[in-house]
Amino acid sequence: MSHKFSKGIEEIKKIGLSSSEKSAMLSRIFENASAVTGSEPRFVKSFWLQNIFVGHQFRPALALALVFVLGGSGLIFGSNQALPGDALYSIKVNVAEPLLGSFRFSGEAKANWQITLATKRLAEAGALTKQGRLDESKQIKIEQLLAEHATALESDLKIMEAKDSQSDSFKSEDRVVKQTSEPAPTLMMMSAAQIETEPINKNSKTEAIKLDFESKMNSGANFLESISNEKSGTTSNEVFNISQKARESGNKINKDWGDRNNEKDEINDKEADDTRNESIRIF
Amino acid sequence: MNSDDLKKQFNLIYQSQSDAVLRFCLMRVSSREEAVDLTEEVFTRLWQTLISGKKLDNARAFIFTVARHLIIDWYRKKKSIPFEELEDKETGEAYDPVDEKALQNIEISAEGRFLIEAVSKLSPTYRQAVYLRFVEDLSPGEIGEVLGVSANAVSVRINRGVEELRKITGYDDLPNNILTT
Repeated sequence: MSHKFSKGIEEIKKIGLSSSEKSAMLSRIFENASAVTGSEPRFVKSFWLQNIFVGHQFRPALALALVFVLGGSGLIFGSNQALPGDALYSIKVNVAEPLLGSFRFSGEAKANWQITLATKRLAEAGALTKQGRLDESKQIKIEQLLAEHATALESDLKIMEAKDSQSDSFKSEDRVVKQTSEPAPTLMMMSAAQIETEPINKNSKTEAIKLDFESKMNSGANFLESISNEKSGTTSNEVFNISQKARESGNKINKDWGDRNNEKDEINDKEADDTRNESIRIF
Repeated sequence: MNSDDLKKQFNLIYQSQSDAVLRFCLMRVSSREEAVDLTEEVFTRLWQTLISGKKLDNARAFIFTVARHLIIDWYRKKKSIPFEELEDKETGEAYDPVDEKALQNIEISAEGRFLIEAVSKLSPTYRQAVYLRFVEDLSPGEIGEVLGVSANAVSVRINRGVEELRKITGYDDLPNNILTT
C-alpha cells in the first residue's frame, strides 16, 4: 500500500508563515486592535503627582504649575478616552485631535490622520453600543464627525494630487526646453514614453490611501454591527445608520476620485495629443 | 481575565493556528500577500473578540469561520460577482470560491501540489469539508460550525468527498472511514 495521500498532506502542512512574518504580524495585530478599540488602559498613577505636595515652601509654585499642566495638556490628553456625551469629548475632538493633527506635516500623514480619526469614531460608537449609551443625538454627532473626516481626507488628497501635478508641470517644462534643443525624432520618442508612463505612477499613493479608508470603514462598520448583534441580538437603528454612513463615506471617496481621475485622464490625453501634434509639427 | 492573560491565550491560538489559516487562505486567493493580509485580519478579529470580553467555545472553528467569510468578501470585492453566484444552487448555502491563479503561486513539492489540485477539483460541497478534515484536522463538529451545517452532514460530505478524491487521484491510502483518521 502506498502512502501518497499521507505524504501529500504532510507536504501541504509545511506551508506556513515565516517566523519573521509571524512576529511582525503579531505586533501589527496588537497595534491595530488598540488603535481601533482604545482598550488598553492609558492611566498610571504618577509618582510625582502623589508626592509633589510634600515641600510646603514650593506649594504655590507647584500649584500654579499643576493648574497649567492639568488645565492644559492634562485635560487634552486626559480627554483621549472620552466618548460622545462625556464632558471631555468636545475637548477631544475640537482641541486635542486638531492639535495632534497639526504635527502631521506631509499630505500623506494628514490624510492618514483623518483615516485614524474616522476609525476612532467607529470605535467610539462601538464602545457606546457596548455600554448601551448610543442614542440618536450621539449617533448624529458621530455621523457628522465622520462626514467631517471624510471631507478633510478628500481635501488632503486633493492637495497631494495638486502637488503631484505641480511636479509634473515642471517636468513638462523641461520637456519643452528639450524639445527645442534636441532633434525631433528623439523628442517624439521621449514624449510618447513620458505620456505613457507618468499617469500610472502619479496617483498610486492617493489610490492606496482611499482604498485603505474604504477598507477601514467597511471593517469598522462590520465590527460595530457585530458588537450591536452581540449586545442586543440585532443591529440597532443608530448602529445601522452609523455603519451605513461609514460605508458610504468609504465608497464615495473612491467613486468621486474615480470620476475626477477619469476627467483628469481625458485632460491628460488631450495634453498628450497636443504635445504629440506639436512634436510632429516641429519634426 | 486581565490583558496579559488574554494576550497569552491569544498567543497560544496564534502560534498554533496562524499557519493553518494562511494555508486555508492561500488555497483560494491569488497571491501570498493577499493570503497574509487576510490571515492578519482573521487574527485581528480574534483579538478584538477576546478583548471585548466574549467567550469563545471553540477558537479554531471561530477563526476558520471568519477566514471563510473574509475570503468570500475578498472574492466579491475583487471579482464583482453577484452574491447569488457564490451560493450552492441546491442547498442555497455559500461556499468558498477559488481564484483561478490561487494554486499556481503556491510553492510546494510535486506530491503536495498534486493533492491540492485534486482537492480543488472536488465538488464545491465536498471540497471544504475534505480539506478541513484531512489537512487541518478539524473534527466534523468543528467543520459543521465553520460551514453552518450539522456534524452529520459534514461526515456525509467527507465520505463522499473521499470517494471522489480516490477516483481523481487513484491513491489507495485514502481513509475508508473518517472516524478512523
